[in-house]
Amino acid sequence: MDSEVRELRQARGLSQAALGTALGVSRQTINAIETGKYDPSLTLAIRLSRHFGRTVEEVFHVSEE
Amino acid sequence: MSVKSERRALPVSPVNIVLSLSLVAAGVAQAIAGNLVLAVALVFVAVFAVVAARYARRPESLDIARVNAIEYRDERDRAIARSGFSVVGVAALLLTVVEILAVSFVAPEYGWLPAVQIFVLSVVWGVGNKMAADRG
Repeated sequence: MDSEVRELRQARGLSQAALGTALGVSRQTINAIETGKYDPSLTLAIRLSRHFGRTVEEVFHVSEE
Repeated sequence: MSVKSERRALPVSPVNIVLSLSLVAAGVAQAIAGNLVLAVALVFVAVFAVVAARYARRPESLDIARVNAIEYRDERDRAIARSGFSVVGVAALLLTVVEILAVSFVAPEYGWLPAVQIFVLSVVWGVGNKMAADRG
């Protein structure tokens, strides 16, 4: 699943570790979400989106196929 | 909807506490029985498990180190662990079938042992499926 997490994180000058600490997840989890290797749970997706003041639809993109 | 937070009040995970204490108890029992080499080996494994768990709890530890040490930090660690343990489950069932065949040819009088083993594994499998289905 594609996302805007990397762009939003970098725009705020956050490291992957700092974002992970803020959300209670590991740096590797943030990296896996950013690279599309891991689809977060709905709970984590909502928390990530809220952290950036966005909606889930604005942060995560699901292809129609 | 809630987020599951890790219990960091404990020095290692509850699973590692039970595992290491069980190994130490077995070591003490072996020492009392006079099997000092096995006793030392069991205590050594217990200490190793605790050290590995503490190492895996460092903030900069790798995901694979945390999963191998049963020290999950977040939902992805638990997802990785579930995948790994599912492979273990399939391997256990397949190896037990091989074991049944081998025992049937080599020591048929012990054929009940792998039969009980595959029965128990199947029950655990069914219980696991039921619990997963109930959780949605």
